[in-house]
Formats: sequence, C-alpha cells, structure tokens
Amino acid sequence: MYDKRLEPVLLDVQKPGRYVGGELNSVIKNKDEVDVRFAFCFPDTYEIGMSHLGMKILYGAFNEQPGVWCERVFAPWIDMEEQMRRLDVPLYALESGDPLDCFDFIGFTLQYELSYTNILNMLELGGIPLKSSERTGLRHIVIGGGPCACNPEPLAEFFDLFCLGDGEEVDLEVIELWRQCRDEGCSRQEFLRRAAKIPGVYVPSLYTVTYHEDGTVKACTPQDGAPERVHKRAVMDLDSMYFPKSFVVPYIETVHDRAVCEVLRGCHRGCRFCQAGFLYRPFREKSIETISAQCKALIESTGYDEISLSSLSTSDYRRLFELIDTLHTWTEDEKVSVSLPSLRVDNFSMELVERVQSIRKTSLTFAPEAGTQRMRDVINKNVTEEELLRTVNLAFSNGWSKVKLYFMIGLPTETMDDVRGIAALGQTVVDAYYNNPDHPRMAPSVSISAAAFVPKPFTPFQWFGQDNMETLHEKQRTLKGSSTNRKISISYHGAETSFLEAVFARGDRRLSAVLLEAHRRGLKFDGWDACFRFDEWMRIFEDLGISPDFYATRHRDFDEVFPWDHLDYGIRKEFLMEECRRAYRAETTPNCMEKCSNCGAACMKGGVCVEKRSDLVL
Amino acid sequence: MKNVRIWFSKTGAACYISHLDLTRCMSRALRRAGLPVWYTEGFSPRILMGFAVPLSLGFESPRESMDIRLLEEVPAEELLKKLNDALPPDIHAFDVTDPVQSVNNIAFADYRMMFSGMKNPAEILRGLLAQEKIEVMKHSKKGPKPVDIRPFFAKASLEETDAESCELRCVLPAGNNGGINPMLLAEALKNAGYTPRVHVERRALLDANHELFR
Repeated sequence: MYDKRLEPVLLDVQKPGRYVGGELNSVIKNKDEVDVRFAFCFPDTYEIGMSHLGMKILYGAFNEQPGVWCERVFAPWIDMEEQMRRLDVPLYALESGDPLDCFDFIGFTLQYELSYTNILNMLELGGIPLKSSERTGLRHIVIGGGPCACNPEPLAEFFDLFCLGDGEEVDLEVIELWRQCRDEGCSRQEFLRRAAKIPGVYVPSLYTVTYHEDGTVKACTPQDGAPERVHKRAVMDLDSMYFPKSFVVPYIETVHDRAVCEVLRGCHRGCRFCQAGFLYRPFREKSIETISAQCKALIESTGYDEISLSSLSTSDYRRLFELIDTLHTWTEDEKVSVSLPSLRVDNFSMELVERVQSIRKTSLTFAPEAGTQRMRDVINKNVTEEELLRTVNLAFSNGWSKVKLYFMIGLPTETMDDVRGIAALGQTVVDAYYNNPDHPRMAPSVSISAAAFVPKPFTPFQWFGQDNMETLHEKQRTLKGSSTNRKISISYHGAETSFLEAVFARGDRRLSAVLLEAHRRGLKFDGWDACFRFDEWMRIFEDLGISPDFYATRHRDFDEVFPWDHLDYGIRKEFLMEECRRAYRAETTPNCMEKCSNCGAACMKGGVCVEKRSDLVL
Repeated sequence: MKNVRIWFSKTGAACYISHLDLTRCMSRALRRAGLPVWYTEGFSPRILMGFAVPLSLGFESPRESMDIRLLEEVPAEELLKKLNDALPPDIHAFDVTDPVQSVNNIAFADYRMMFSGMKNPAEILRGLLAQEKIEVMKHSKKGPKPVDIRPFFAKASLEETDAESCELRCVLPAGNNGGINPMLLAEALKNAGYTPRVHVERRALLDANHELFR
C-alpha cells in the first residue's frame, strides 16, 4: 500500500514496484486487533533489503505474535525521495502505507557502516526526531540490531536501544516489556531503564563515556542500574529456533530472489580478519530433518524454484552430502534446484559439484584472501597453494575455464611482495590450466578482485591501524602492474569507501556529530558509487575538527579502552590479543573442530564448544 | 495434454509489475497452486507459458490471457480457485477456456485513457486531435523516428468527466505486427507544454475484424 498522492509520479521513477507493496505473503492485519506496530527498516534499496534473510526471519517471528504487526520499510532511491519530498509524502511502510510516525517501534538492521546516513535520512523522511533525546512518550522507540550493533557508538545518539546477537528471542522480550510499560503508564525513561535489564539489550543513553586527553576512551560508566557489560544473546538450539514458513515474494527481481534456508550459524574457522567469524560464535548446526522440512515449507508457500543453503560457510556443514541427498529426494520431482552461496578451496570436490546443479560451468569463485602463504598464515586463512591448485585442476579437468579469486590488500604486516604474490598466484592458476592435459578447448580466464582490508571490532586486528590511502593506492597500482597476462584481469574496490567504513567501524560517540552533519549536507547511499561523495565527507571531518585518521589508521595499544569494551560477544579480549600476537608471528591457530583455543564462546554452553570440550561444565 | 487459456485481470498496484516480472510471478503462482503444468525439457526446465500482447508498465487491464499446457484436465472451477489462492491480490484469474484464436490474430487493442492533473483537458485534447498532423517521436529498436499519430486517433471518442479530467476511448493497432502505444498521445501533450497525468486501461484485445480476441 502507498500514499495515493504518489500515484502520478510512480511511472516517473525507476522500478515503481519497489514502492507499492501488495506482494504475495506480505502480512496485512486488522488494525483493531493490533496493539504494537513495528516498522522494520532496511537502510538500503528494496532489492537489497528484500534479499536479506535476517529481515525475513524477524518479520515472520514478530507477525506470528498476536497483536503485533511488523511491516517493511526501505530507503527510497534518490529519484523517489525527490518526489516524496516535493509532494510532502512521508516515508511509509509497504503493508499499510502508513507513515513511520504511526509506529511504536522503528527498527533498523545494521548491516554495514556505509548505510548509517540512510538511517538518519529515513528517520527524517518519516518525520521522526533524529536524536533519542528529542523523542518523548512511549512511541517511536528506535531500535537496532545486526552485526554493526557490536559497536553502535557512532549511532548512540540516534537510537534508544540496541539488541546484541541473535534477535529471535530478545526482540520479542523487548516488545513484551514495552506492552507492560504502556499498560502501566510508564515513562519512556522507565521503559528504557527496565529494557536495559533484559540480557542482550544495550541502552546507550544509560552509559556515560569519558575520554583521555589524547582522545581515547577513559571509561564507559553505566547509570540507573544498567549492567556493566551487555552480553550478546545467542540461540543455541537451531532446531527449535523460529524460522519462517513463508517469505514475502517480491514482484520485481531482487538481488537474491530465491528461497533461503539457514543451515548453520557461526563459523569454526577463525580467520582473523573476519568479524562475523567471531561475532556469531559458537558454530551451531541445524539438523538435516529441520532444514529439509523448512525448505519444503518455503517452496510450497513461495513457489520459488531455487533454494539456497545459507550460512557463513555452508560447505562446512558436516553432513553436507547427506543433507543435499535428503533434499534431492523431493526437490528433483518438484523441479527445485539447490544452490550453495560459497565454496571453500579446501573442501571442493566433484562429488559436491555433481550434487549441486546450480554450480554452472561458467565460473567458479574462491577466496584465498591473500597471495602468499606467509600472509595467509597471518590472517589464519588456513588454505594452501597446493589446495588451491588441486581444486582448480579438478575444475579444469571437469570443464571449467573461468575462475574468480577474491583477495584483500592492506592486511597487517603486508609487504609489496605479498601484493605481488596475488598476481603471481593468478599466474600459477593460469599455468596450472595449460599444464592440465584435460583442460577445456578454450582460453582460461582468471579474475582477481582485491578489496581493501577494514579492521573491525571483536577481531584480532581491532588494534591495527588501517593502511592510509596513499599506501592502499600504491598497493593497488603495484597489484595492477604486476601482471601483464591478458588471461588475468585485476580489479579492486575503492580505498575511499574502505577508509570511511574503517572510521565508523571503530568509531565512538563523537562521530554522531559527523553523521548528523553528513545527513544535513545530503549525503546518503554511501555504499553506492553513484552517491558516494568522499570529498564532502573529508570536508565535514575538517569542519567539525574531527580526525578520521584517529579512528581508521591509528595503531592502538593493547591497554587501550575501546568504545565497545562494555559490549560482550563472549570472546575474551585476552584471546584476541593472543591471536593478534600470533598473527604478527605468522603463526596459525587450529579451527574449533580441530582444537578448542579457549576463545571464551564456550560460556554460551552450546554448539561446537560443548562437543569439543569435555571439561565444560554445563 | 491440454492447452488452455487462462483469463485474468491485472489492476491496482499490479499495474506497476512489468511484463517480465509478471511472467516470473505467474510461474511461481502456478507452482504454488500445484497445478499439473507441463515444463519445457532441457537443462533448466521451465513452465511453458504464453502471453498475448505484453501490457505496458502502468497500464491496468480487466482481461489478459496466459496460455499454459496441462498434463491432465482440471475442472475450470478448481483450477481458478487454486490459482487465485496462489496469486497476489491485484491479479485475479476469472475464466479458463480453450485457446480459440492464435495470438497472431490480435490486430487491435481497445484503450480507455484517463487524463487529469491539468485544466480543461478535454478542450485541449479536442484542439490537439483537430490538428491535421500530430507528430511524435516513436522509439523502436532502430532508434527514434517521427510518426504522425493523428490517423490512429481519428475515431477516438472523448468524454468530459469534469473540468479537470476527461476520458478518451480509442482502438489502436496492437500485436505482433506492430502497435501504437496510447501514451504517444500523452507525449504529444507534453510536447505542447502540458503535463497531464494519464492513466491507461487496456479494455480488450481485438482481432482484425475488431472482434474480441478469444
């Protein structure tokens, strides 16, 4: 549903299907029977947001509650925003067409730092006061969750509360408390004070941050009975955890337009650059029976002909072949194809390829992440060149001629030799192709894509100062210049966006002012090349007298207090320090399946931790 | 196996679904409905579906058709019920028949155009249609070329609903042998400096004898 005033302009904007709602399985409730209205906002376009599994899960979980109506809100693309502002139509939810202003909860999923300006823009378009301190009464509770909630400090001024970790349970507890508070006639403050007592809930306004003279954090002190440390929530039994039986099926094509089933949560690999690998510990798997039943329900309710088995690393599902065979007992008859989102170099096999039809003979993608063994040891990406060569040879013997390889540049301890090693590895793959007598009768193609590394909180590299932009540009040039082979194509992503991402990833509350000013100057959709205006960002930092380098490129000492130190994801800081030291010595750490390294996640008493640690007292 | 023609309406918000999106939407609805549809053979089997003349983005229609092939006969009532249960609210199947004519027989389409958002649209349209020639740029695969649309609108009937809106009924060429998009008239208005809001309904597809396509 949409505001009828928009009708005259819908044909003047790109993809009007984004803005009209009415999709199959979207939930429409009778307002008379609804006492909590939740606007689930995705701070990016419809096509991106509708591809996001977390939103589908929470949308289903909330709407299953009697009296709760959860609706979807996406950021309008710039052409539509212009029309909405011109016609004075506020941002609305797609189910009811009601403006944001009508909602009790306004929830944002925090998936990437470069969406922060969109959050402010969406609040403003919806007529919601931007700052938490400017909102009164019990309505318009602005709530956030998702990976960036692990350091939400740059957003602290704008949000009322954040939910850390898995949202399936804690969000419902917050909604229930809110109902109670409303019935008891509590103030907003009282609601927030009581919410802070729910495990996993972080109410930033209840914490005072003080700073040292050098700008680093001195302390973050709780008030009003808020906990010293907020522990993330994690659901241990994935089989009994809520999973939707149906998805809203978009009319227009989205990025991932298929049924998706989560097969496991967490990752046991321990790659040191990967924030998700630490945030979502421990590694937990769903049973084959549950996955198959959930896939079947989704296929029946959506009519999709493709199902994707999703997770941080699906090929690490321990009974993967058995799972796929079980799915095939009914998917083949129903003409449903099963796909895997990513493959690992070290467990790729023909057996797997034969079982998954969607791996087409066009191109295979792998992520060695770094070009030399030393560098891969530093980041604990336990993949060897031999494994990569074995895998590509297997692929070449079986009809593939195109390989995509993903790398990072700007990793800790990286030298120009490591950068050149990326191109050299590409050359090794090309050589392997020609040395393989069974290769297809066509020219090989190796695409190398290099992203600039962004150090993130809760990783062993959280102390690391990101390479400055001159260094990154030099590394990009070196990489580009180190191969003249036309069978190898080299591309890289902008160092500027990575720099800004690094600023906000490890930012503190003083960056709220920067976000506010960026919003005031019309910055939005920073993740989109068409909208990203780096020079304007730099001007804002300069005008406000805030140094972006302090956040992005500064090396931290081990004794520094971080803005996110009061948030607890179950990972001990000492463990991360030890991992950091090992990284600088290029020493690898075994993964959770091989040996427990005592990261701290065992405190959640579930998943792989319980299986691998007989000494764990439950 | 039996070929059937399903008749459906596409109204309201569904007018913002492009033809390509409609085909995906229908394919999913047929799957959800669990109807015994025939799939194409080959590496990636798809449901065989045939549509008559694609409906432009933004147009509503009370009568569209889709041809499918059924592996076994399904009573019309059951088929419509199952399909409608699986379709989004603004797409509604209302009849199922044998495909009487080939889609190649389609020669014309009957349109209802609602003009609003400007003063005295009826008068302005009358003035425009009274001209000897109405030249607009028609965009085709070979690029834009000027075309005189005046002859196509010669028999159009105009009805004034109020001072700020009016309705135009016209029958324009349509189908595989080339068609005329009614929005070309809106284009002509724009060229003359007006910015009307135009809403189009395609009432029906017709054969060369102006009989209803069946």
